[in-house]
Amino acid sequence: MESCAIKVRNLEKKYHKKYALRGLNVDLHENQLIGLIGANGSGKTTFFKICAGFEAPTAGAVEMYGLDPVRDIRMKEEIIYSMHDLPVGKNWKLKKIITFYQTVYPHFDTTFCEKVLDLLEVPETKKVKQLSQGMKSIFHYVCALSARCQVTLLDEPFIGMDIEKRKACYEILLRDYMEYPRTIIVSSHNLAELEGVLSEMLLIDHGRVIFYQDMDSVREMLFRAEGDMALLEQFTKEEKYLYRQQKEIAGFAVFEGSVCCETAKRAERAGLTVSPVSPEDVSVYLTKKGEERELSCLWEK
Amino acid sequence: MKLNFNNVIPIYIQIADAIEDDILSGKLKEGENCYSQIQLAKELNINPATAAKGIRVLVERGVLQKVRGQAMTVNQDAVSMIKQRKMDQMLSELIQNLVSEAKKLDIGMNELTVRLHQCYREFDE
Repeated sequence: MESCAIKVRNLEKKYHKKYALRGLNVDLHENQLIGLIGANGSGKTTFFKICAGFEAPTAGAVEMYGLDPVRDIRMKEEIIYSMHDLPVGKNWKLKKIITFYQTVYPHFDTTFCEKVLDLLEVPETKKVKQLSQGMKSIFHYVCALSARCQVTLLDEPFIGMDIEKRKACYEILLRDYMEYPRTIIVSSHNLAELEGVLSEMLLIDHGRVIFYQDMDSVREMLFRAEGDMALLEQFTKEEKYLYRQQKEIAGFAVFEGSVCCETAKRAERAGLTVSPVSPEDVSVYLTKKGEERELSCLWEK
Repeated sequence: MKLNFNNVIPIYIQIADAIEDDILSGKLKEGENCYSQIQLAKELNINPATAAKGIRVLVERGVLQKVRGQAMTVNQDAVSMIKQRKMDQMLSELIQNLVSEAKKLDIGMNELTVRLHQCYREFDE
């Protein structure tokens, strides 16, 4: 049994009568590299902020290694929350901010931080306001990793980075996690790029947990069957599907199970082509509401 | 070794298959240590949990075994085991695909056999 790092119970958060979190329950395993996935406004940032102790929940509680992150000062130096655009002094030099991190986080690895910034071409002598969006993201991300906190919360850390830097950052994330195993939660809208380095995925929607699973299970969660409309029509009459798209020439439907499950075998025997649904698409299909909207109306005069 | 995330074959099976290929090519030898979970994770840029799952598949297939306190070692008769399994499983799948595609194109058994012979000879040259 894996031990639990973060215990979340009936977590609710209300902002001006609107719920950001509505009864979130999950036990996050210790020392996993977890992807927090969800559409815009699904509650990811609110969840992070409550975990980090920046905000108090309206109801429910978060327990981190048995402690309350909001009230217990002992957790402060073991949790770091970071995002691409932290509100830090615009006129501050990066070097000064690094010194600040050193004083707050006892495990902060300055040598590592400087080496990575050098590798990713972010000069420490610059001021925050002189950085591009991508460089700012890199800087905050590298600092958050260097803090080596037991619980590392990364909220959309890769925004604005070019593809080469993103890839470097994914690799550094994985390698640093392997060198210093700890609980890392990273939110991103770029799951296709990130999924390989993750060990688990937490999908939330409208402030609730849809699932919390290891990546290999997510990759086998759904499958897609496509082919001739008549065949598909017939097959979806007999089998329970999650989502169906019917276009004029060909369509597809999404079902629960892996490409090796019994339903998938029946689909193949029925003459349909079966393929796995990627974790990124899994997150879309499991949070979709109703049928696809028809876009043509946008251009109607 | 390269992984394909869009493939029908699960990542951990791809890892297992790639290790088997290295055993067949002689890059990994019978009785010697296999790549470790950490090595695989670093090399393939993949989470160690997935790498471990790939190794587990090979233990189940009887290709690797854990010698007490040591890393995973390649079994003494790994090569023949891999060949046998590939024959049984992969070859039959490939042949099934081949025949089903041939049928779609109305290629008869005789023509298919001729083409197979031809392909075989080209490889030998």
